[in-house]
Amino acid sequence: MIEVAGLTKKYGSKLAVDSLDFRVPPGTITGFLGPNGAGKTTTLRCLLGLVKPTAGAATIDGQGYRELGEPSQRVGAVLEASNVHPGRSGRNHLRVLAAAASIPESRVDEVIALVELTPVARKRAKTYSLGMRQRLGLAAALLGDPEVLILDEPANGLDPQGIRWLRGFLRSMSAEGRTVLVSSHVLSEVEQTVDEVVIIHRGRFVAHATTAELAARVAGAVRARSPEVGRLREVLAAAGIAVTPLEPDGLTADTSPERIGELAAANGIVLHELVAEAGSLEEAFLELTGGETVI
Amino acid sequence: MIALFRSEFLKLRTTRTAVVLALGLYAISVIAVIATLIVSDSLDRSVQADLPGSAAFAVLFAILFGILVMTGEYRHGTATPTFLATPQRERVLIAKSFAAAVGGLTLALSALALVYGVAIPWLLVTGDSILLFERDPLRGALGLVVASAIWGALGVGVGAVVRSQVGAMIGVLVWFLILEPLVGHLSSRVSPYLPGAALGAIFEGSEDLSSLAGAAVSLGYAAAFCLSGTILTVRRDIT
Repeated sequence: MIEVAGLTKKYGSKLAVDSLDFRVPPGTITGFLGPNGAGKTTTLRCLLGLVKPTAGAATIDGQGYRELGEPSQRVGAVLEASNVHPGRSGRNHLRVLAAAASIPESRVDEVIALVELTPVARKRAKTYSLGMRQRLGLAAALLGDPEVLILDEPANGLDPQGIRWLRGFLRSMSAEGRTVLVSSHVLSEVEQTVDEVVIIHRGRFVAHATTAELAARVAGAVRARSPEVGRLREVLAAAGIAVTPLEPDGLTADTSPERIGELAAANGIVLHELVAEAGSLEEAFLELTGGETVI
Repeated sequence: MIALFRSEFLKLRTTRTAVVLALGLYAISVIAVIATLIVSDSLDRSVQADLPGSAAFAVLFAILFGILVMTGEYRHGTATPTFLATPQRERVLIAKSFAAAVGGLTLALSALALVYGVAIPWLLVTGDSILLFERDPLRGALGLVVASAIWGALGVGVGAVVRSQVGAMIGVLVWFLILEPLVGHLSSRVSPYLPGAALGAIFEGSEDLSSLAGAAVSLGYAAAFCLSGTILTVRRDIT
């Protein structure tokens, strides 16, 4: 269980995280979403004991990261892909971290194979592409075979192939029963992968919902077509429903398809089409975060 | 703690930094010893007593090495994975100070071996008696090894306080070239105890400090910087 309670972080006078509360239940993949600068990285760094909160706490199984014994074996984290010495090989980077955490060297080659980095493992890191560095970061996070994975913008800078690989990878991690918290400023990167989303904006909590609940939050308009569209419009307007005309013979209305169907039947109006437009997650996300997100 | 020492030594062995520093030091030391051997009229006792000093740059390379060991973590962002693996940051600092001290010691020892390796065959060829293993040259050599070890750790302390690689190096240079002479000029009472003077005392002993006292004062500086660097590192955010 990841728990963030009343978490506040000020950098000077700037409030990066503002009394944030949320929980990530064990065994789920949770997307941690918000526009750039929303406070996601600061929150994750507080959770990982790298940044000291101004107030409140971020804990894992009730303990601060710094209090966890053998943290590498409890929590794996990927924060920035560039966190590797350019002159050191990927394999040696992992050997250094394994040594510090008393993890046997045999595990190093295991995680390299797991993230499919074996062919370049002995090359110096400065020759790696961004995608390879992201995977090296994932390998480092997996060294201790942790139950909890925390990933900050792991899809940043990945090509579409890399993003697909990452999705498959996260799903396999979740299938193994691990708890995954993955941040992103682009919902579409994670919406196919996550069970739940926590959304923050300007350091404040906005929403915590399943992806289905989030989609339902967007009031989907209803689209109708009728040979007697003029009369339908009058009937709907008379019922107090906001209507937008749609050329040549249609309209959209802020109501349910059932209501339009009933009103049309009661007034003997023929309908040619009646469609509830499902709100997309992206729309919900944009709406909740004030439309300031960068795609 | 053993695991951390292993990790830190592995870091040193898996980049070229240490090798490049060592090669630079060896080049300077060999040039220095050959120059002394050539220009000296007679290779007598006093000249030979100063020969270990050919490797004196080991001290400078040791502090540079210590600075690189610490600031490299910030420069390359590896501080994040390092402190994730070991959230007890003070332990990382202890391991690093120790690793840099061993590194400084190794730099000095190997440079001295090289200097002796050049000087001994040279003396055999010129037919001069070899006086390199008398008390004075050995004392100089020992002083160099001790000073380099201490200054390696001092470099880690300075690096931990400053964090910026360039900033730490410039800071060290500015201190020894400008500030220490200036402070020494202002107060002759404190001047023998300043870092550069204490370092000099390790080799020669000064009016105010014996070799041993010079080493103790130098160790005090290293400890002070490592301690304040540790406190700052534990308190600061890793962003």
